[in-house]
Amino acid sequence: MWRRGRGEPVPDGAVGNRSPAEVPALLRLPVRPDGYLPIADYAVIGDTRTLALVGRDGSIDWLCLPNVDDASVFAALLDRERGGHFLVGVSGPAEIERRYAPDTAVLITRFTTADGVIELTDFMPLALHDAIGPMEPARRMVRIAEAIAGNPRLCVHFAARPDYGAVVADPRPAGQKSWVLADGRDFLLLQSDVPLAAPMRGTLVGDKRLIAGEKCRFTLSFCRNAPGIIPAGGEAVDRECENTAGFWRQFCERIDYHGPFRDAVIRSLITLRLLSFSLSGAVVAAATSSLPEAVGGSRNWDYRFCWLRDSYFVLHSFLEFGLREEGSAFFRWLMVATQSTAPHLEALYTVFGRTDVESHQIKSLEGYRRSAPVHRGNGATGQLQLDAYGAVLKCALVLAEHGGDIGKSEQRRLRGFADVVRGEWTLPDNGLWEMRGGRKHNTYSKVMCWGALDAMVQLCERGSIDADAAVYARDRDVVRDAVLRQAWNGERRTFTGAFGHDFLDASVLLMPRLGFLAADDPRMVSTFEAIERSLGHGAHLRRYPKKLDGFDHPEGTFTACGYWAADYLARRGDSDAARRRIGDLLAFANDLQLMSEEIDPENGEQLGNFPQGLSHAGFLGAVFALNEAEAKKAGR
Amino acid sequence: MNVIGAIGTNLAALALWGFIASAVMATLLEGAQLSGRTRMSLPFLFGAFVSGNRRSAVIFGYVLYLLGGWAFALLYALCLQSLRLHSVWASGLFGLVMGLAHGLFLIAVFLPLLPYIHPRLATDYDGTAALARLEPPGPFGLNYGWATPLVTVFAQALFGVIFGLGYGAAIATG
Repeated sequence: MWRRGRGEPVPDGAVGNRSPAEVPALLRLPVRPDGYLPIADYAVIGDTRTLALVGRDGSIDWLCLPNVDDASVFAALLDRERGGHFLVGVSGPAEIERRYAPDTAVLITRFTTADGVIELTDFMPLALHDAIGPMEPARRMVRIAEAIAGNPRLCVHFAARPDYGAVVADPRPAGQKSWVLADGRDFLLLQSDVPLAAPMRGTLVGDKRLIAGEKCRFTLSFCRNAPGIIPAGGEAVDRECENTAGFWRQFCERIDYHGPFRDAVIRSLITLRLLSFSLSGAVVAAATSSLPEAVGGSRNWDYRFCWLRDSYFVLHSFLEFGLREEGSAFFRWLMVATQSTAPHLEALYTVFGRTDVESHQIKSLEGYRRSAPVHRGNGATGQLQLDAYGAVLKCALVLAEHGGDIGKSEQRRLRGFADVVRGEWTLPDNGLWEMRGGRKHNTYSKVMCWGALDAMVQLCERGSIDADAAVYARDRDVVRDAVLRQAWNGERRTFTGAFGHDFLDASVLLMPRLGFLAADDPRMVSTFEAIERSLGHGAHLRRYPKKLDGFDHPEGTFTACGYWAADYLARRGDSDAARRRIGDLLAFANDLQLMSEEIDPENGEQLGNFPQGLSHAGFLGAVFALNEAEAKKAGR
Repeated sequence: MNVIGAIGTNLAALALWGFIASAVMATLLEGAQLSGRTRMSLPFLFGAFVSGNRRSAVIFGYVLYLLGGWAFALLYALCLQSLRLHSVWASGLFGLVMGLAHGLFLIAVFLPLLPYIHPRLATDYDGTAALARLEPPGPFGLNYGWATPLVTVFAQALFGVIFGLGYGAAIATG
């Protein structure tokens, strides 16, 4: 839908006080080994409707508009040359430090060069008022560069490549300091305090020597299906920064936690809030698509959807740390989204609750470090994941335990889900990990079926759902017996990943957390030891043995599994080991305490989509268990 | 009967067909917007004349748009009555011509000049401002998408045809 460029010549005017001959030099981008930054070098900003990844060098390499699951405008993350980016930074060598403003999602990157120091502030303003009130663009991203000392030179490089890099969009100048990309559907406006020129089609560049205290502001605004809105500039932009930071500080004030790892807890909850989609209450699994689980491999999936299997961990994180509003909104979304498929559940839903998600390969992008293919959409739709039922019913239970109401129609739907579990728990399914090679009687799925029925019993007993608890209790006990008999391998003294198979699966470490089996039960103790031996890499765990999923490239260790092990240790009463393990795992988060899906055990690099909600929820769950264990030990 | 008297006699038909023609035109314009052919929204632009609040602008805009539709219906009716076009097809053809002329005026004169009178539209000469503004439509409204002139002229022509046929039928049947 974007207007394709016409290859207009470079404007005659100079860039600032530079001659046209000097402009091509500005096309040079900061050097990156093999063209890509490590995943850990990214930070995330967002407005709870979409998110952007900001590289350590000041380049925005991932942004989808208007919503997180829409097509990208910048995707240099997945193709350095074709993906598109928006860099505000410095061109020469620089020492780079970054942090979030305390208790906010406002990113501050500091470039120290030989000429001086620049501080770059990145954020996405939130709709803090009645959303359709004032005339404001549908989405905005703001970047403010300020010279802190000396006379540093600021460089700007803007290359929007809508539709996953398929379109080389040609911005046209609009008014002073503004450039527009527009067609009959979309309006993208760049306002820049640094004069820009277009040395070639689809690319704007500029630079400016700043004096100490000088600020340059950049605003990227987006509207769809409406006349474009040109937002206020100048000091109004600075006020937006204050308002946005204020929103996040108020969010953090509601977090009820004062135990160990508090900073990382705050960052994880902010990250989960960023991954939530305010227009519906959904929480997406990650901000990105197709970051590989093994560099050069083909395990590259689109995670910008909501997996029900994650829902219990996410909701638990919100509610246990005092964020009732967010937890309730997420539960309401779960109930609304699943309405279309009830009494059955799909594995994943879009942020608006749709299930017609098809997976397509995006040929226009080469993939992160040439890890092809790049995907849009996800092929997991249509899979049977029985654990989803347990996740949804356990969400209802956690909500009820925190004083939340479950309405009549929601009760009906939850009863329907529980009845499906009663009828279908004996079926093989695709399981939590969506492995190839046919369906199995996955142990975790069966445990979650038990969890679904157990939650139903508890909901009935609490009076939150009007139904006969005894009916569900009977079936719950049958499922439990089946798991204890069929998943237990007496010879190896371990619970296996699936009935009749002997592979190990780290997800069975969640049995104590789900209330299925005590952590100090000898069977759990020996299972934990077997998993540590077979799947462990230091504090990390693989989710299952190499090549079990049929892929040649071995994937990394699964971050959430490491935290599940720490959760297990805390529940077993070994809080020192749990604390040590959480600390060791956290050391692999990036400098901003953000986590991807996996870690490469060979070099410690982050792998997979980023930032990953399940990793952060896993961390929060482990910290919660640790806190409980320490409180218990201290007799509190 | 004089022109004013004739209008008075057919006031109900004027109101009805003015409303129907406006509704069809609005549906076409909104449909074109949703399908990504143009970002033009005349009701929103009209509403933004009187309010800087998006919600109010949309509500006022549609009220103004409907009132405008009736005003143009009255103008068309006056022309039809004064030209004594009493056949349905002649009225429809007249409506088509009037609509096309109206549409062309809109895209060639009204939209490009609108930023000079609209309190919330930016112009191409503006710099950074303290308040948010609306993107100017540009020549022929092309800033809002390549299909804007076509959709706008077509919608106005459709308004003219529908009103001409409906009102013409009312006149013809006495």
